[in-house]
Amino acid sequence: MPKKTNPRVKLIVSLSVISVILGLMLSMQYKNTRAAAKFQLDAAHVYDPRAQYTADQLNKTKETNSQYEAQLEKLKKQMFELEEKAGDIAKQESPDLKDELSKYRVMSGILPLKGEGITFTLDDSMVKDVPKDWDPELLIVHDSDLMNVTNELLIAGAEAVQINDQRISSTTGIICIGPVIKINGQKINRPYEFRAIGNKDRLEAALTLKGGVLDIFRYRTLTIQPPKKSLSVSINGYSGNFNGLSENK
Amino acid sequence: MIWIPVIGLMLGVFIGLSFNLTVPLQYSSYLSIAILAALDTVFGGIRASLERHFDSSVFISGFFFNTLLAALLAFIGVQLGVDLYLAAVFAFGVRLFNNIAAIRRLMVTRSRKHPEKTL
Repeated sequence: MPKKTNPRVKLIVSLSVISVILGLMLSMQYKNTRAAAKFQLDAAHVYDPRAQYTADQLNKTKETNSQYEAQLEKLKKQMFELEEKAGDIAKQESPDLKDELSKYRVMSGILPLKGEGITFTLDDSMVKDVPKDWDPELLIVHDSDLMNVTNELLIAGAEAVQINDQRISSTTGIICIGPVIKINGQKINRPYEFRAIGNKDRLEAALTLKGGVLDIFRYRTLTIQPPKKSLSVSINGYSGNFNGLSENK
Repeated sequence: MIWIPVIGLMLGVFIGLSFNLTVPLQYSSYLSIAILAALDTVFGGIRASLERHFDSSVFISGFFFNTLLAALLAFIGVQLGVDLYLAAVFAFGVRLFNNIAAIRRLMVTRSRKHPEKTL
């Protein structure tokens, strides 16, 4: 019998010792799991006041935007009604007034126009083997390039200019916002298609001048489709607002 | 006599819960794998005792060795970006089931032979 009790006692003792350790480990792990679950719960409900504030601002702005859009719609309707009335009166009192009105509309850029002019397209460089020491900035079309071309066209007497689908109005801003260019607050993409209404020969001459804008672009290996003269270039009306350049911020 | 290890288990749980003993949260996964290894060893020990070839030094060394090996395996897995702890989970999990199944079978046969005496 003593031969048998010894291993049995040993078994009980070693099992007990191990059990204590196992119990300790189990309870510690249990506490850890509880803590981890609590931590996750807390993390899910972390309150970020800055994000909340920004989201609130965005919602508020969206709300006011839709309000203003509705208001704009209403005012436009009113304007057209009033213009109808004014036109009737003007016809009786002074026939010149209506002509003047349409002239100012053309100048402001809100009217879609069609007439003789030129079109051409400008795009980034597609040349692969440019000199190594060139600044890569030379190879893409920048907002300043679009501005230079626009200025050139306006100086040459263009009555209306459009880049892609954005009409250049009296308050249009052209601005670089990283990968794309923003015109009238709208992002536009390469290639940049210019349309200009005016004396087509003079517009073309202004662009293709020796040492002029297109020459410089050509030196920079930008992709240019040379100006095409046309008798019917159609241009959109400006559809934005006239609150200055603030929207281009 | 068999209730002494059960009391030991309860004592361990009691100590763990009542005293402020904690393992840092980032080592929690190692602890869990170690617990699995420990459980496997304990059930292996019970099985061995039922099969009458229990050796306390094998049991105790197995407990610590398996536990540490499992934690080490998990640690190496984390360092290498390989989920090595899954190997430990799989191996110990399968063995745990085997051991418990063996214990169950032994108990059943034993209770048939000696209906009045179970362990």
